[in-house]
Amino acid sequence: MTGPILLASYPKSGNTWLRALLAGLEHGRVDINDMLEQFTIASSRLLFDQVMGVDSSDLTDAEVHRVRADMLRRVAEFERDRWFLKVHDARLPATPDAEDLFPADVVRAVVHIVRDPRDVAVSWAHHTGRSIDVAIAQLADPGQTLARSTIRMSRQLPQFTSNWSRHVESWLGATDLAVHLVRYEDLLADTTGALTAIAAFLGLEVDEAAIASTVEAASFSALRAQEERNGFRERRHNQDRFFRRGVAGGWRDTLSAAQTARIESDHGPMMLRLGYLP
Amino acid sequence: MSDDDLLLCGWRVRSGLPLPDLLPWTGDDRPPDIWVRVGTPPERLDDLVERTPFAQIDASGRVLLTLPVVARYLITGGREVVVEPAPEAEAPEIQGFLLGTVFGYLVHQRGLLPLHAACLSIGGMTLALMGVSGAGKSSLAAQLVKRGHRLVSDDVCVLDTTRPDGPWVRPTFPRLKLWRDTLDALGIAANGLERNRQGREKYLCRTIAARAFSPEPARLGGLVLLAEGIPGRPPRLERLRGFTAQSTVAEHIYRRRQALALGRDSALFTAAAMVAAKVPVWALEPPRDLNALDALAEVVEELARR
Repeated sequence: MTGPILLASYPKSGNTWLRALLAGLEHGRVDINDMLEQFTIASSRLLFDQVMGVDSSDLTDAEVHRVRADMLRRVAEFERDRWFLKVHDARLPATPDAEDLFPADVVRAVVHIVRDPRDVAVSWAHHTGRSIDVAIAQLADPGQTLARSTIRMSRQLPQFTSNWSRHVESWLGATDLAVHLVRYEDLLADTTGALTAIAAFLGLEVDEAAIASTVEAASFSALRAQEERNGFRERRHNQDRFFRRGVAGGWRDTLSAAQTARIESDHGPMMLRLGYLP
Repeated sequence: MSDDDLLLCGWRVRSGLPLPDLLPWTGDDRPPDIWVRVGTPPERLDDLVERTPFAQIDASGRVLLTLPVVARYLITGGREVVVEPAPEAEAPEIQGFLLGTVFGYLVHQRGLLPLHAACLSIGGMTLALMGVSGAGKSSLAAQLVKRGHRLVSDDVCVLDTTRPDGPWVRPTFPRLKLWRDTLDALGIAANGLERNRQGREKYLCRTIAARAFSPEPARLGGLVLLAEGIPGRPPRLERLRGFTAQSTVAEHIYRRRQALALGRDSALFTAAAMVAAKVPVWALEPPRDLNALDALAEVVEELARR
């Protein structure tokens, strides 16, 4: 049995870029349309259905939620080598009686990537095709759940994220797990250094040349060129492109003063803690 | 009692529970092939070869399926299902699992090949539409029914691979399970339709399915994989061959992992290889858009003419 390495983040915080970088190190090449298979999302409906022997679409959200940790255990039983799971769930109970989705006896390690919530809000607005004010409200909603829909089938199971601050806290405070924190902004400023540190944390045996070629293959311009050429299966229909800007601090030319103030008021303590406020 | 027997995949079913989705049995006076009885399955099975929070499979091939607020089902030998409904369960929920997962186990125990596929008869050609949950099988099936084609099965397509002239489809029953967004796109009113689970907008469409249902076994003419479309890339249609075709069929065996626990690995491998050798397999990358259903249906109609 081998437990999963979780790539945990709030949405639009650099999880896709992190997966591209790890794809380069683990598989020696970066193909944005292979990453869903290389780094399955923990909330994959397909994975659940295959492992559990019932259709999650015939189950209630509560029935699904109750057994997700068990599903992880079952997958881990069959895994021999290092394997990764993308995660957008908060490590919080979605209901008062819910069990820990990611128990310490199953999870091997966590790479936790965070990003300035002012940039997350702008990116989330583009991703969902909603206004920035709606995005800001969702980042502040303690009950926020992704892929929760009763009128259509989602390829993913519902994921309780709560609000941005609680989400980040749930992984920062996971002292029973081995968690390596990466700030998107640091990954951007010194990709080679940050990736070398991630590789060391995960015990990957890679040399400088492999890191250098991966940084190149997973650069923003390279990923955007792949999307231009082949499309990207993780892009939403309302989006023109998934790889949009790839910068830190883009909120400065996008958010109004009032919008900025609202995010800073909603998430001030956690932004301070992560160095996003002076 | 025997006057109330039912038809499922050519089998005579005698059920102590109402199963309004199944057609009445009109065949010969053979004894029932499958019995559904209300009773009390054991709390647990021993000597397990597979165990999930919902399903236990023992070394003799018995399956115990447990859905706490719906029912418990003991499935034995492809012949008998003992059902214990939960007090709070509604009839469509109890029937839904019986004609879904439980049915899948029965098919495996009886040695046939159940694929996760809808199946339609289009101008005399029988095509199965394979795909994972959410790939759009039922939506496309409903669209094809709307365009005048005949329904053979919705979620599970049962193949008999023992005949020398290729795989034959055993029609299941006239019912489509459709989510609310698909109903809206097809202009079907949700009023009066039963839901498959309380509180969810997944509906059981019987009237539309019954008018279009084709109960006669038919030789399979082709398999279409409904793959995941990639935004930014035009819809693609590709003929799969050789090992790719074979593994695509194998990957879409219904309840595959549990079937392997039932000891069916070599039988299923052989059956999937036979199907891929005798029948063309295509992969269709559709646009993921309910507004494109009509165009998608035209692609499938064109395949049926080949």
